[in-house]
Amino acid sequence: MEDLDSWLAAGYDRSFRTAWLMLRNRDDAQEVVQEAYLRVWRFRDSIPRGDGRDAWLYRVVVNATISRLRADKRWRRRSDDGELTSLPAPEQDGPAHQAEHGALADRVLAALAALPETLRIPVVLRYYAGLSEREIATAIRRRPGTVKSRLHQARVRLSADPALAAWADEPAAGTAGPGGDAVRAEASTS
Amino acid sequence: MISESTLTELLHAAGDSVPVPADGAEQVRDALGPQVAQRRWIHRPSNPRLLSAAAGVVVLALVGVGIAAGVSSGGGHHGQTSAAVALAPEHAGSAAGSGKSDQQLAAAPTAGAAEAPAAPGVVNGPAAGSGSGTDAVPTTTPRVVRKATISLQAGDGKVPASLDGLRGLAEQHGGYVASSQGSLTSDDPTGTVVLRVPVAQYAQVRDAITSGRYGKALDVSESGADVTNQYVDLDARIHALQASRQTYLTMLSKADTIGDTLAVQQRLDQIQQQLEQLQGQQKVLADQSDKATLTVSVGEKPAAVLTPSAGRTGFDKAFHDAGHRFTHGLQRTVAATGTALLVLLAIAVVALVCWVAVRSARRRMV
Repeated sequence: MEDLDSWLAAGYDRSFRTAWLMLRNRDDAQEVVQEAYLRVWRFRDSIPRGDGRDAWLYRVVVNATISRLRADKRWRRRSDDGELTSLPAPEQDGPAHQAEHGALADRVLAALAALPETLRIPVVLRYYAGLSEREIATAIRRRPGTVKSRLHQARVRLSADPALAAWADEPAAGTAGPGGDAVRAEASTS
Repeated sequence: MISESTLTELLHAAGDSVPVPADGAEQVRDALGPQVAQRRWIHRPSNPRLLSAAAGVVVLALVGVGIAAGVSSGGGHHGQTSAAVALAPEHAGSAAGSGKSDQQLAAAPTAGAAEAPAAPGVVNGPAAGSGSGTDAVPTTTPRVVRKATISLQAGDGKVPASLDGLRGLAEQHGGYVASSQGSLTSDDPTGTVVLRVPVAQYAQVRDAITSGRYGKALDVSESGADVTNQYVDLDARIHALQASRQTYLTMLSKADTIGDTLAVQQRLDQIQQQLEQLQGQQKVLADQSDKATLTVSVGEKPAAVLTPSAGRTGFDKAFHDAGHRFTHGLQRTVAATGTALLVLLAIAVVALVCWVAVRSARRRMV
């Protein structure tokens, strides 16, 4: 019990951030993580041992978030008609939050917020949560080909975003390109 | 276009800058606290397929036993109940002891630890109380629901007097008349009274009725149903629920959030409802076993006895036999349908268990 408790506490930050990137709301993210942790408790007999259990926890959080989004009628309506509309702007978390955010983070988050949910969710799952395309397809109940297509659309849109244009047009497998060093530097300090 | 590796770095830089609630983990832990307490019993077995297979075997075994019992019970219901009455004291004593201890060990360890099972062949008195020392119930006293049906033939014009005498007899032995009905003005006056008398007075009252004082006894049938197990089981469940209620009351006094209070209160309401239902059932059972029921029918003429097709000839006999066989066939059809329904019910239960197990296994893959 103590081990389970400390393990869940250690994984809270990453779980919350993943949920927040998908939901764009602190209260919803907190609720989703709480619900996910409750699922973990209920199915504690199924927790894999060893290195795999962090990935398992992550999957549970992602699934709980997807379930929340699916339960949301707005999401369902948008998802069904396939229309690519933007979400409202992310909530403001006050001066302290603004101070913590660097310029890079703000730009990335703004560009991410400009994406419609149908594109933003796969992007977060693929490039932040680290899920494979097949795992994303299972999570959002779409074909792997659809996921691949949406990821491509998202990258095209993000490349066209003025805030991230500096990182576009670089070799696919190359280094970070313009500003790439700054990215790594800021990422390592955050 | 932005490469995947760059996008990964950008998203990690942005995502890791999202401020996490400082007390988020503590809030989750606090929220999980009551859940953990309430859901401790939802401990999923490690192998749902094994569980479903075991459940299927148990259900099929029960069905087999039920069918076998149904087949073998054709010997006569009356004889079976008579045997139950004869064996009641010894059987009830041992069965009550074991049933009580099992129930209480499983559900309420504080309620029955001091109770000892009854010694074989000894009819326990009410001294064997529960371990808690409160609300002591004579749990090992054999409880038998006794019933008797008696037909009397009174002399001409003596039916009203016979009925009055039966009423007085019940009151004389500490009982009462549960119901009374009669047709005293017709050519063939008849009447029926249902007497409830204390079980201890049952034999005396029965003997008095059949002594000839109230009419000639034409037919006497008795039955007894041992409900000791049922009564003791109810008693154990009531004690367990009372212990649970006390636990939840303690939790309620310590709840400091509205959510916790509502959750505990909801559970308390459920427990109280179950408790009242069980106490009601126990009260009914106690009343049935505390007082015997004697149904006495009084008439001037003996009741007509139907003799099937005796003396019938020709078409009359043919129609009568046809009607009799139709009724008999209908009875057999209904009986066979009952067995088939039982088997179908068992199959449905097994299918349900398998479905739940498969769904549970799928949910594990979240």
